Amino acid sequence: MEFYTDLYKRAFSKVKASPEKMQEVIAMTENKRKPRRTARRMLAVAAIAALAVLTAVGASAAPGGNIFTHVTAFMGSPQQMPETQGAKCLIRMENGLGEEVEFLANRVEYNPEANTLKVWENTVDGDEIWVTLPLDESFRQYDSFEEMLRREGAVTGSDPDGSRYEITPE
Amino acid sequence: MTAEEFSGYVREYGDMVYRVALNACKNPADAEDILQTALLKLYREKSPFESPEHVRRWLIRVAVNEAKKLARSAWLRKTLPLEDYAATLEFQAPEESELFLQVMALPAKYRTPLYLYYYEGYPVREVAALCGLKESTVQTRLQRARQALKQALTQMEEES
Repeated sequence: MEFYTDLYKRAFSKVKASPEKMQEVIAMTENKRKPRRTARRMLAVAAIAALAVLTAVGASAAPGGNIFTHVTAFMGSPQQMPETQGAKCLIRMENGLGEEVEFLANRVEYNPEANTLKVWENTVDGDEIWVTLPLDESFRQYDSFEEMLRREGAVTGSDPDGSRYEITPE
Repeated sequence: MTAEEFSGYVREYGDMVYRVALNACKNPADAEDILQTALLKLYREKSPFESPEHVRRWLIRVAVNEAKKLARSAWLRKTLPLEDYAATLEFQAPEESELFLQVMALPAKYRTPLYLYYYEGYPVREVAALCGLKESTVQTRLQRARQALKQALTQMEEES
């Protein structure tokens, strides 16, 4: 059967990536060391915050006494993040005051019917515990930390001691 | 890979990766994300490439796989009407725009084999390898895509 080969080629030759995106990608490789530093900083905070938040969720209160209501974003990667000791997932929760905190987890399981996220985490004794967290209606899911940081833009949150921090993607 | 080599590959294959991604996911924003992911993976790839053609095939496979991963993801994005996107493209004749929209209206499984076969010029065997499909499956999909496209375009001609 004859096909519209020439027409197809002419039509799709007009489909091009934006020059801005091309430049953005090239610029990202020129500055590739910087995001890793910010990632390590954030993940270090997240590792410290992990058990504190899970404990807080269990007790219905976060560090500083605020209640964490729902998960707003999470990253579940099949690969271990290089900056961590085996963690593959990063969870972001928000409290009733609109404040957010991120923490690491071993693995997560998304339940679309219940709109919940089951999160596994290690205790200081090396045991694995899990907790089921409610998801925000418009939660965001990512497959890599880089993608999460890129799409979320500047990520802000609270350290376990209550101090605020901000991580920017560049 | 040096920065100069990488910039050269971006210029040489960037549009191709974007077109593969757009055919696979039908969403310009997601296609740009796939483009970025594929190119960054290329930059970080440690294994040496044998030739520019090796890079080209590698990028196509990564783009196809990233699109599959995106389709499996629970992450859903709001999509703009494709007609709005088509209006931004510099088509030189109405039939180019019509064909583009009709191709994009085909089921997703037809679009990538169609692009690799008719635009990139890969034989069925190569298209099958790049898409992770059997050769017979690619042949069937190409045949059905041609039929569907011919039917749609003929109908449009008759109506106009």
